[in-house]
Amino acid sequence: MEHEPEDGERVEAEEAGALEPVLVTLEEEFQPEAHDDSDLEENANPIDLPIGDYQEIEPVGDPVEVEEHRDDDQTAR
Amino acid sequence: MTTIKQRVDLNTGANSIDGWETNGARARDVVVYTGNWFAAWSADGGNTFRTIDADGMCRRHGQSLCCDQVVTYVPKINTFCWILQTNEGDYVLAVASPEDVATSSGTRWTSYLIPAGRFGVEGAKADYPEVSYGDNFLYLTFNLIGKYSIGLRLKLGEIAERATLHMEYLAAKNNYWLRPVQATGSSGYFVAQNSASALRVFRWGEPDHWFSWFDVKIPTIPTEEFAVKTPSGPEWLGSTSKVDWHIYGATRANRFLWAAWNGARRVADQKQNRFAYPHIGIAVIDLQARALAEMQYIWNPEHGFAWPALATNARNEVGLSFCWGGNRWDPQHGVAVLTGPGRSFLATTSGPTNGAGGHYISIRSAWPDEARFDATGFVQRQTPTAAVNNPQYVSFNS
Repeated sequence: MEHEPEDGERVEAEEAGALEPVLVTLEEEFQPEAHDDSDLEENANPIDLPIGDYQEIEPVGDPVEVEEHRDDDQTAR
Repeated sequence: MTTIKQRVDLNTGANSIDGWETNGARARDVVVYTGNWFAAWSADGGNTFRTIDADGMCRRHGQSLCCDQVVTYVPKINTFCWILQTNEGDYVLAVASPEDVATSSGTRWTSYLIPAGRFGVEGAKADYPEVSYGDNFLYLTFNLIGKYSIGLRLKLGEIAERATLHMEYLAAKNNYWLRPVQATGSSGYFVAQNSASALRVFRWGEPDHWFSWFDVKIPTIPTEEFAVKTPSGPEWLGSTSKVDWHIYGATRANRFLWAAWNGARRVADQKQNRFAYPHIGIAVIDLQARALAEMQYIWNPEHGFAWPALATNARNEVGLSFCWGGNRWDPQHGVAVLTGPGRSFLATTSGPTNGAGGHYISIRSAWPDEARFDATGFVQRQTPTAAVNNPQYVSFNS
């Protein structure tokens, strides 16, 4: 059974080999096409984390107010 | 007090880039900006952007662009480090100096393919990268899908020489969604959640070939009921938004590590809502005492907050890029400086939106201006014919 390291215990880092550089010259003024990538990522956390040892939230401090942006000109700088 | 110095919409006026899941970094007047399916560069301080062939970068390695791109600028080696996730589940690291980006119109890079199968799980695919740097290393974290998280470090000296890179990594075998801490200095730090009630902090001294970790108890994160109604669009932070409560932002300021996540309304197994709307939870951890120093909650009784990204500038101020909205407010992007007197939160967008933010919005310390931060975010707007995305570039300081 694999040893489970404890808090503060030294754990050896691992090596993953070498990476060789590749010089790349890309096409200029490339125009990307939008694509639907919604299926390419995990939509939910696949590792189900537990609640843990419940601890009360207290205090939460004062509410935070956001100063709204009043300029609807999206080119504004 | 937070002061916005520059705000540019990449899909309006001189710019016409439609995309989401944004990330960006700046060195002097050169900005490299990424989204899920695009990359762009600017040589005029972020006023106008031209696209980069991100998919072509992946094709050069026999793969194709998927998504999840991140970028940072490392002043010590005067190099942009740009990470691209491929459909094959690997990463491409592309590096170039700001001068090379400008003189080549964003076309000339040195790149490396990082195969996900090199990290102990044969056939593994990687997902959800983030990048940071310390005094001598570039740090990259990612999930091996369905397994656990990896913290990879690469020597800045080897990157500077555009030489062969030698990979060394830690495997966080009990953790997922590991995040690298920004501005780590002489030790790499990484943070993840063990549960909704505890964080795990990994420390990897830069001279060392070993790491260690310690756990910090936190008030239990409300993980239930994120979705909020909005005036103009569909619900925000709903089931298709990818929202969850893992750590999104992490940075170090002096001896404190700041870690931020999305919090919902209610703690699992509890009956009462603790918050009326989703909020941002922030744990401030004392790295010397290895203990929670302070909890901060970014919340409002009338609307939600979400998608926190954190960074530290050269003055050791902590900046936040975030989204907010719901109830009477359509979702918007905003920025804030969290430390110092007169803390204020400023929206950077306005008007009707379908939503704002996602797995990626970003903040980086600017270079060489020691006080400034560069943030990215995005909102989606509805036109009569289609939904369009408006990436934002925002430069601000305290």
